[in-house]
Amino acid sequence: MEKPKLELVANNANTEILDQSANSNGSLDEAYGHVYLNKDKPIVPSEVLVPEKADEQISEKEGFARVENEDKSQSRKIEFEDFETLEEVEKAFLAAKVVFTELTKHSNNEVEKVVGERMIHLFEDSTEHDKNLVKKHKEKYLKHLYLCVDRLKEGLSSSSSVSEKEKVSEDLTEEGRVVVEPESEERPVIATEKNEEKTDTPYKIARAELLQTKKDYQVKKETYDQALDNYYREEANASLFKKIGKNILGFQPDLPQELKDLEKAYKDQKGLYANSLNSALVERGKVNYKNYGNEKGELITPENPLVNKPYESSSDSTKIAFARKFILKPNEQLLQKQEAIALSEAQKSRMNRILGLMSKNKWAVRAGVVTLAGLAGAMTGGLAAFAMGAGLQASKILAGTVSGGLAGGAVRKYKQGAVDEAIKAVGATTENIQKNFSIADLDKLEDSLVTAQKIKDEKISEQKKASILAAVVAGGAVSGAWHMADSGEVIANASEKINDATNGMGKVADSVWRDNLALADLVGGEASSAPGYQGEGVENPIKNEVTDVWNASAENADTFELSLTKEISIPNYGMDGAKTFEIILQDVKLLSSTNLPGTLSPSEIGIIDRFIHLTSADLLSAHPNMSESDLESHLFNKLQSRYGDEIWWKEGEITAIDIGEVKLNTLDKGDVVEVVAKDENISEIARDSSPVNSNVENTTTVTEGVESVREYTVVKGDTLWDIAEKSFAADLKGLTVTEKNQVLDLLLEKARTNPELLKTINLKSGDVDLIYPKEEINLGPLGDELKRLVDLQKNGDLPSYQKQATLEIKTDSVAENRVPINFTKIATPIDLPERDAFAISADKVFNTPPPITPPNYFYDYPLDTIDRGENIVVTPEKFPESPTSSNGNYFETPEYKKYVLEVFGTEKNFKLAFNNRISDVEKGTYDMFTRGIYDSPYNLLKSMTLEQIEKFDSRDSLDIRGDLGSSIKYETYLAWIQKINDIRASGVPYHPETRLSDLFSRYVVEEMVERTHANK
Amino acid sequence: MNNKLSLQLNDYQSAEAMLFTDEVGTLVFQSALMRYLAIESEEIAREFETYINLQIGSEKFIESLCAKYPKFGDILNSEMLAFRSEFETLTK
Repeated sequence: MEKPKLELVANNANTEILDQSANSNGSLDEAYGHVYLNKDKPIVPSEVLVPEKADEQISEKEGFARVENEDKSQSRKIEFEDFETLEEVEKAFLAAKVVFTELTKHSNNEVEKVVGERMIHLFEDSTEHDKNLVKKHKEKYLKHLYLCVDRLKEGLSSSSSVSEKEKVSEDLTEEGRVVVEPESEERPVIATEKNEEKTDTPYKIARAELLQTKKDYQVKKETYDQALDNYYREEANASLFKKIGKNILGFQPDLPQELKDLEKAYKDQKGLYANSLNSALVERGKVNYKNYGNEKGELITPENPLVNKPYESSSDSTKIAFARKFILKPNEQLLQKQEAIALSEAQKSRMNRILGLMSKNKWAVRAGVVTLAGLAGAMTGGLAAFAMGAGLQASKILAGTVSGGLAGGAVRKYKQGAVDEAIKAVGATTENIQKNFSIADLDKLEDSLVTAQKIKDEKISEQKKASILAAVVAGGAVSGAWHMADSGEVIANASEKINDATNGMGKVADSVWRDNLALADLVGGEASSAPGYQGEGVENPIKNEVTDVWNASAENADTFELSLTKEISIPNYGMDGAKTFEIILQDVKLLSSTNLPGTLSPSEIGIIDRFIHLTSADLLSAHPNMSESDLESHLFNKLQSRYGDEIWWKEGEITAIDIGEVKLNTLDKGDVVEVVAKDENISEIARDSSPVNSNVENTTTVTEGVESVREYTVVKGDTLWDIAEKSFAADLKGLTVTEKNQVLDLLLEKARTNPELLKTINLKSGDVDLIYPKEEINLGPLGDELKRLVDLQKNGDLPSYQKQATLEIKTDSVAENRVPINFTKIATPIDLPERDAFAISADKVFNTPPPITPPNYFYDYPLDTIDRGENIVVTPEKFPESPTSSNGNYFETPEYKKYVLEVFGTEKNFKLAFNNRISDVEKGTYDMFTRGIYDSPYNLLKSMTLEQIEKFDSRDSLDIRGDLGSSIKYETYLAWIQKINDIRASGVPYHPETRLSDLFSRYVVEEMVERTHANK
Repeated sequence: MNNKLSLQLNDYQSAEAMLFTDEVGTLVFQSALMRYLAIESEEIAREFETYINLQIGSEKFIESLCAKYPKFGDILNSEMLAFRSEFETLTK
């Protein structure tokens, strides 16, 4: 019985080749050769069989790689097809693995064996949460595995003797399946390419043309790149970005004419190169098939045309591969170049964080869809295909983008009626496109769409036309339709709060806002543990704005869920030696049952942001008799008792410990807000809390003499801040929002701290923070005081304001403690719009602004998982002398800190640079989607000595990968190994027992010094 | 040779096409983001980042983002067009 033959026919190998070529700038000839072999006839040793099992595992319909029995028991082949599901990928993988395993038994190609095994390991170990991401990764690994199989085959075939080749030919002939032209000059075997010179076939011509265009392309690209590098370097050194105002960033930067000429030459040549490559592939494919016949074994002749094209230039995979190679990759490199030169360290950090967020939150998908609008327009001649392909939602999103851009001004003036009309006008046409879409009919359909739009346009205003035009420019008429339909609405309401416009939150939005107040109060104000709170109208000693918030929220009971986690970070060493304790809110969620999540205005976010990053010396001020060092020591002891010797805080810098969790679920009246201190230490510290102070002594009240009377009846939802703002609006007129808020802050603080003034208000509770509906209060003296404060404000004499509040903590529902918190009033960086002044009526909220120099916001750390290694002890006596260190312990010396300060200005800048350098090492190993998903190998390696790292790295790659786990990308690890070697070679002092954290810190500093000198 | 390169996709709904779309979208966004951050003040940039942090999961995220930060919307739009012209250059 004849043994079945295995043939690997990798149509998609073209894609891979293009990718490889793009990645490595490698030779397309290599790629050629590779495809060549893929298309080669089955020169496979007879031992390489497809086991029966594999056949069972793969059915024609199931697998990406399928085994076909063309002639039942005679021959089978595996073909690449597009994956639709992860399951298909995995089934295809099983088949490929079987083939690979068989091939490795007969091959001496150790490299391919190792690579293939690595791919198998990677494949089997790929455990992302996101199924699509897993699929994408596994597809990539599988393709590489196929390449390994090809190369193993190549090795086996090339090691075969001529007689073996003849034997194969005989075998093939005997099968009666393939007719081979052995004398053909075009036989696609690399070894025989020397014969190509004999005849100028179309393929040879195409290939020669390709080689020439490629050569020209490389020359022009290099020239352009070099010129661009020089230009950017000059621009960066001159710091002209903002001064001149020109845009030298992005895909089409404004460049000098000389550079533009070079760019044009480069891009034109790129086009020629791409087209040459396409032509050569097409011709090669024809040759390939001509030599080997079609799948039925029939010779290809003019009378017997190709049944299946061996090179599918029309396949989407090929097109995408071309786009990746010729458009995505070059532009990605361009952006990297720009980013490196044009952005500050802080800007780079911010960009990395945002991109990381995108990849984590999958909104990148939507961003892609947005862009497809423009892309599809270019690729299809219009946007209709996009509308069909990407769905209507995508059009809406695009419309949003467009409306925020070119047409924003015009759309702002739209009226809803016109928008509705426009929807109606193009609706039918859009639907028609959706139902009857085809590429061939695209232009016609789009024309009809545009026509429909045009007719409608004539009936609407010039402004609308301008807006539609903008949308059409951005991508097409469908976009225009949706632009009007959706975004027009959004923009039309842009001046109002976004909540109302986008989510229809309406009335309840205010409650959301008030929830924010509650959130803020819980952190910075007189937090309400409110154990005895019984609801509205009940006298209660626990009183603050939370109560009001509570009431407001209770109106919409079961509507909102608000949860947050509060953390306090310790310690934060400043370069000035100060230690800061930072309260951070994490996982802030504002959810409602009908709007998930609520949409907030930037100013609202700004307010929350300030509380998220609320920084103060809370704990220190809570315990005035305790020194900082004692406090720190105390906290550390508590930490140790709580967390033991776990490495995350013992060896890394402690960034945060959780001291409590606040949860507000289903805001029913009578619920109790709990701030439960998980760390007793906090309570202990709080126990000796100092009394609340005020720093407004230099203001005097005006309650002497005849008291004015101005009555007001409290309504539900009021706060005294609200009332004062509304009632004294005329007096406050002329002040900026910030100034107005400062006056109101001071006013209420005066009322709070001056019993006489408080008494004049006639508050039932005797507390400005607790008022009741229907309560009649007197605003007269308060108004007089306000006028005085307004005058002071206008004269610039308003005293600085410092407030102390208390943070209540209930420890395990037993002990209550108050931790006084100091807040320093400063001007808010951005004037808030009127609405916000109202919204932040709770004085405690507003009285907790951000610090003047906010230290170490959490978002200043692009890689949250990266801990610096400063706390890692470096053995002094073994550490080599440093130019800036007298005793060799780089981290612990004053010289080090001084040096860092000199070089970077602040330690914060150093941290930013440090994290960015880490990003620089790693980002080349991540694609756009995995940026921010994987853990950094630095965390693993930082505490190792160089000697240990060498030992770690000397092991088998599979062992290394095992240690890295699925959360650390192997390629990233390799990048670090390379970086370490580079640093060592660069002259940065090191010793075998130098730890990576130390080495890398030194490198960052030295690099900055070098760069600074270079710029000088 | 007359084998004209075409980048017109046959199926925009395929997983491969959508994946590619995502890549393109991210790249364009990245470009716009870089331009925006380079010219925007630290204060606004921080607010911008916070906004993204809080809003990234919302359905109309892009709409809201561009509405709230029209300057960014302008840049994103121009980058989209610039990127599109790259395709046109290649296939012309």
